[in-house]
Amino acid sequence: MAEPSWSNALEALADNKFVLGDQLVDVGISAPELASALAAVAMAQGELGHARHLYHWSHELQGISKEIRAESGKALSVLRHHENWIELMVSLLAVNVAARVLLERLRQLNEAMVVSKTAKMLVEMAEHITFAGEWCRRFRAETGAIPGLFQAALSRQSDAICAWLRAVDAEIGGGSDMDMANAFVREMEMVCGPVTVRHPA
Amino acid sequence: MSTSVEYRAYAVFARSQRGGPLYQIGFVEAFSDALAKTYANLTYDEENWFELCVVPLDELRWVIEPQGVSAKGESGRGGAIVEQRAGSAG
Repeated sequence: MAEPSWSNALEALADNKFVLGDQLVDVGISAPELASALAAVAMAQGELGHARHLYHWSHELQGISKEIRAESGKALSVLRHHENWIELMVSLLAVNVAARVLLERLRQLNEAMVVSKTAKMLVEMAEHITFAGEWCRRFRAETGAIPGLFQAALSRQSDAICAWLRAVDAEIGGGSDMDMANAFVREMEMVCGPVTVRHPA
Repeated sequence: MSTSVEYRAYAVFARSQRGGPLYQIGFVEAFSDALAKTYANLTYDEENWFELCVVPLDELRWVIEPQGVSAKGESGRGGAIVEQRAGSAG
């Protein structure tokens, strides 16, 4: 059974997806094209569904049962507000890549319950990663101010997520405290090119 | 966004169940194949499809191309009808 020490990580991930889901609706409707705006709203439903699933799982590990009315306050502050579509796509990519790294690490426990709880979510997250990754590759290849805005957002979100993943690694123990953060950076670079992250001193 | 990015139109095809017919159910427009697939999956979600695929319209290779019935347009369709009417009037 997944250790109760994972419950904080799952709840924090749920908070991040909860906040991201809201932003996908608030900012997503201002997408550059109608199809993307519709896709953003559809993915908002997906993110909120993942959040609900993760909250229930976290509560199960804690042995409690409570109604979910709002996020628990663990969401990263960089996810609470997005100025534009560029920042939103970077967040969508970063949160889902981080979620995939974290859930794959959990699946290494090789428990049937963990595998069954994560299978459908990982398939849906792959689609969100594909969508956001395509837009991020486009931003990088654009002209004018867009590549600079993209790079700034990518560094900012990646820094915040790496710091969070290091904290999760430190809390759950059992490995190098750079494991998940490094895995996150590697996956992000495979999807959208070089990522500059500040490393802890 | 710059206008130099090339968008392609894709036809969306779906099959409801194994052995059933493959129908065109719509169109999407996107700047990459991966994005077109995502748009199709998210937009045409009214059914739990057995199969769903996208094909760029410029990759279709017509064997029998339908002829239009209205006046000759850019594609040249309907030109035969317009010519017939012009011939019968003169």
